[in-house]
Amino acid sequence: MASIRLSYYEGGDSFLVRLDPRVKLLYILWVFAMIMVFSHPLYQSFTMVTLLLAAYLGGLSVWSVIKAGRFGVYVGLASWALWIIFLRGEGVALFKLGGWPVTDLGVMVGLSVALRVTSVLFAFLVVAMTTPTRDIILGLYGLRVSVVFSMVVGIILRLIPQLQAEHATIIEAQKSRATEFEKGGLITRFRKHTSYVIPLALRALKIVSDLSIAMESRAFDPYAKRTFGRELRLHVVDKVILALMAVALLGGIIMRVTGLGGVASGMLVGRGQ
Amino acid sequence: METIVEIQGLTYAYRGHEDQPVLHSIQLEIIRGEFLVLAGRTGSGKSTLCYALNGLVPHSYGGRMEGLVRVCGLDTREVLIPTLARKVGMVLQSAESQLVGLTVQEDVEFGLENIGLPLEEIRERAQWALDVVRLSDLASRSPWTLSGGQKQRTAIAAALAFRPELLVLDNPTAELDPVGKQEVLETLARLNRELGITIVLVDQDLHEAIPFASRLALLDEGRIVLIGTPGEVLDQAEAVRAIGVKLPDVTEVAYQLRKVGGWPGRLPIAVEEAQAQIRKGFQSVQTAGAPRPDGDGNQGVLGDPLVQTEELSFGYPGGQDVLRGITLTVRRGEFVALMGPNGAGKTTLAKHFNGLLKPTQGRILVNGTDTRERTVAQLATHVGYVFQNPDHQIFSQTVAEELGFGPKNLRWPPARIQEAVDQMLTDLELSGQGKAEPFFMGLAERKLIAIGSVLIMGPQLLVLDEPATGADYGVALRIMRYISNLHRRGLTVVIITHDVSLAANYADRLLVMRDGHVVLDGSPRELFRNLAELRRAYVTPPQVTELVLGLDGLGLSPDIIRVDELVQALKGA
Repeated sequence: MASIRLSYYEGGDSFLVRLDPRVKLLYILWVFAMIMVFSHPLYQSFTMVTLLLAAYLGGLSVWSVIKAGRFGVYVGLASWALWIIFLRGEGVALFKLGGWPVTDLGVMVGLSVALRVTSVLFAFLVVAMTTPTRDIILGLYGLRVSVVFSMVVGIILRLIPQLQAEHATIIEAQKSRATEFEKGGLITRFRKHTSYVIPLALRALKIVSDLSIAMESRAFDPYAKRTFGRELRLHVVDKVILALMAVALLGGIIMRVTGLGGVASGMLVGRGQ
Repeated sequence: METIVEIQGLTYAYRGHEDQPVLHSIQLEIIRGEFLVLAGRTGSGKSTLCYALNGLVPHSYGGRMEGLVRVCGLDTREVLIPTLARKVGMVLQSAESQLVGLTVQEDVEFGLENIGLPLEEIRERAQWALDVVRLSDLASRSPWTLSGGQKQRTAIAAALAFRPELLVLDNPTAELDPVGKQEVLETLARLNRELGITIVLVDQDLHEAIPFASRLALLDEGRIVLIGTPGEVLDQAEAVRAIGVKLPDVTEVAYQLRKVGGWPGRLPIAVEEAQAQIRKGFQSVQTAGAPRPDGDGNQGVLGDPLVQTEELSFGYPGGQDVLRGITLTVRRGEFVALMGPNGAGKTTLAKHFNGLLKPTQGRILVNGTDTRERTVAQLATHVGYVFQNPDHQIFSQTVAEELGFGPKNLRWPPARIQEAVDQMLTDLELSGQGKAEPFFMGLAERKLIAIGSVLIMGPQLLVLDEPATGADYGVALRIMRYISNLHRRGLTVVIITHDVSLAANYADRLLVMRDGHVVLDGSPRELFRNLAELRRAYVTPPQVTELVLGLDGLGLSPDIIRVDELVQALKGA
């Protein structure tokens, strides 16, 4: 098994790493708001570009971010495909696939939903990969989120990579007993997957239980007053970024209210809005 | 002498099992500055007793508690865990499950942040704790990148940062290699000696822990059955063995001789002590009782090559090579012990045997076929791989279903599966338990079921990763006897282990790895007497070998690596 990581945090001393964690956490909310304001993928792409910029400013390779969030990509692609199927009877038919019409509305709405699903996930990943877990907890606390919730987020971030490593070991153990997860029909595959879901669930309980014992033994009390490893202070650059986000969001809302950024039939073939 | 722990009539049962106490009427006093070692078989109540010392029992676990536990003058029932944490540091068995921080420093500071100390004091205390355990240079490293011993020292530093009066460690060396064990035990000895911190240490490996212990307490079925200085307790060898605790080799040798009237005095607990007593009592051994030839008849004529690696190298994507140009052959009928420090590449090499990993350079042949041409499922009928933790494997509702899982994957007909499952249940001495739920069985049974569920597919080679780790002596013995029987019936066996005594007693070939290379390859007898080379590979010889090598001039063969061999030789003296 490859060595496991304690969290998503990649380390380094990039521009994004140095930003105040509250700004980065607010950026996740900003991405969510911006991507929801527009439903036209072209307008939504502005938000996606900021994600690429954030990854660049965080010293992250785009590939490593996509790899970490590949599950979200699959979900996004699946939802795109489903919307194309659901809306096959609405909008202008672009072409036929296996006898089924693919309409412009299906493509546009599906892509919009896919971007909504993936953008928030990738915003979270970029922030998690450029912010130590302790700073995320501190940032949440600084945003007046309760200590209990902040610590729960921190613990989940701490546990995810460990559970991923456990998952890899269990998969190997079952493969050693001639399990071929990729073979067989749906029911057979489902049955095979129980061979790792059950051990993983039991291991997760054990890991969480051990961690809670360790934390309690170190005087952890979510309701007690605690000290944080450092004090937060917004610098000029943090304030500038917050201002830019506010302006962009306000601008987005105004554009949307004035009728820009929506999806309508005929857009891809030069008709409609 | 000041009492730091006072336990009177402690009886405790976990929540939901209030009628099944795991501790019964415990009476115990620990004096400030003591180093108390607790031992006993799995389920004897050692961990629960530890949890009672820092208030996890009863505050966190609930349940039914009777009696009094007073630690540092505080009644544990009346004060909460965060208050007790300032007085009692706790270190658990699994180093990784305790890691909270992203860096070593962060991990050590976590507890101090919890009690709301000012930032300057947190920094100062964390630095002090890291200095004490000699980890200051690694303060900014991720604890996950450290060795097992360093991880446990991080956990000790985190407990130490509270400046506790009592440090409780629940089996902290169980998952460590010999170097890691030594690091941890020496750190504890220093804390006890230089800072006067009282230590309570749970450890199964008595021969490693007792040199540091001022007292030894043995638990059985929730009761303290023996307590005293290590010498006093181990002198009652019969009783110690009866509760499933393994005696140190030197004590076992003397005990075996005492049974036939060949050991007049008190049983020794350390190598030097045993050497002095043997020198006094045994003038010359000559050739009497010379050890059996290498392999003890279980190797005989070795068969054809079963596994051959040729310049095998392997590296994870984006990482350094974990294996570097390994060329070796495992022949049919061999019993190989794969040893070496953590991170040497043992498990990575073994995972090539059944195709879980494929070489990045070189090749590996199993039964003459390149593993790159076979899937893991196809290789499962040639090479069985049993993982260290049976809980990574077991998922079925019944033992029979668990055993039949592999054959089902191989699409055997139902009748053949049933026949094989019945046979395996008999082999595992679990007849009549086919419908039992494996999750609720003991560790020995779960480990045996995991082995059986791999063996049932009929492999010619069985690879076992740390088959005895985490198991007490009785469980380990049962598992190893089963594996040894399989080997005698012709199965080729490779075990990955840190346990030299296990290698000495069962293996006929030792492969020692370091930094991705095989650095030593030979019979255990040949390698164990070569102390200098062993130390370079971070392997310690069996205690009985150390004993014999210090008895030159007495006529003992330096080939002795097992307790029974030395007993035989000394009986003939």
